[in-house]
Amino acid sequence: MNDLIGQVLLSVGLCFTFLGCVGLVRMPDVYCRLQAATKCVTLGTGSILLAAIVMTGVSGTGVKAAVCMVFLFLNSPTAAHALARAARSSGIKVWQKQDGAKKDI
Amino acid sequence: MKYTIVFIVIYLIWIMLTWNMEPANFFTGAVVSLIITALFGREFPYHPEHTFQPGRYFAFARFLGVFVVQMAKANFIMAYRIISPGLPINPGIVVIPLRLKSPLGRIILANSITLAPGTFTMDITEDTLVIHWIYVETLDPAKAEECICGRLQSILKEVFE
Repeated sequence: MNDLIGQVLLSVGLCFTFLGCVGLVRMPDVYCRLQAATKCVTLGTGSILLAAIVMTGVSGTGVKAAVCMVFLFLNSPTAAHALARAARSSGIKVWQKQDGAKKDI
Repeated sequence: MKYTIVFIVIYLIWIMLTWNMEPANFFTGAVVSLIITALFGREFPYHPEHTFQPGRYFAFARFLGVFVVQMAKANFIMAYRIISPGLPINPGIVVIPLRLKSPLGRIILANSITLAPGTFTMDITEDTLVIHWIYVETLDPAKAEECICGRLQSILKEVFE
């Protein structure tokens, strides 16, 4: 039973991580890319770690995975914030939709 | 008392990270934790007396409940934005007021905004947060705060102040 739950969680995690990567390619500018990377990857990595906890129980691996999850939720936004702040202070503008410009031409 | 709190937290992290029930491991952990405590214990808990007030833990549990729901929602909304062909985004920058004073509270608020649906902390000043919003609904600071933080700011005020 635990194996089944673990595998479901693992698949969910892989799906979200994959979507995060797709977002990284599709989004137009650095800030939107960071949004895609932080949001999808937290749940993706979170459920992969949760799968590790469910499959191994209270063992060395499980407890380490739990600690890693806490660190992930603390570190991922902090790193993204550092990147965004650096991008902003180096003067990168926010991307805007180009609808109006197209009509003018 | 400050040092005791830091020591206990570091020792617990050591035990969880190694998870090895030999006496030698416990001894090494104690030595390492003592060294780290001696080096950094002076700085960390800004208000050690807050550790023993149970009301703050209940408030923090409430915060965690709100936060986990928001985070799960954020992931699904972001996944929808990524896979929908029209790319439904309208990014912009809004500035919202920040009323928290305690440094830890400010960090946790900024991080939870980053993980909340569609928003992202870019910069933090004395009394404002600069936020990148992937689908801007309003530019008015008060309304934007209502949309972005909801109850988070007031709950964190209970926890840390």
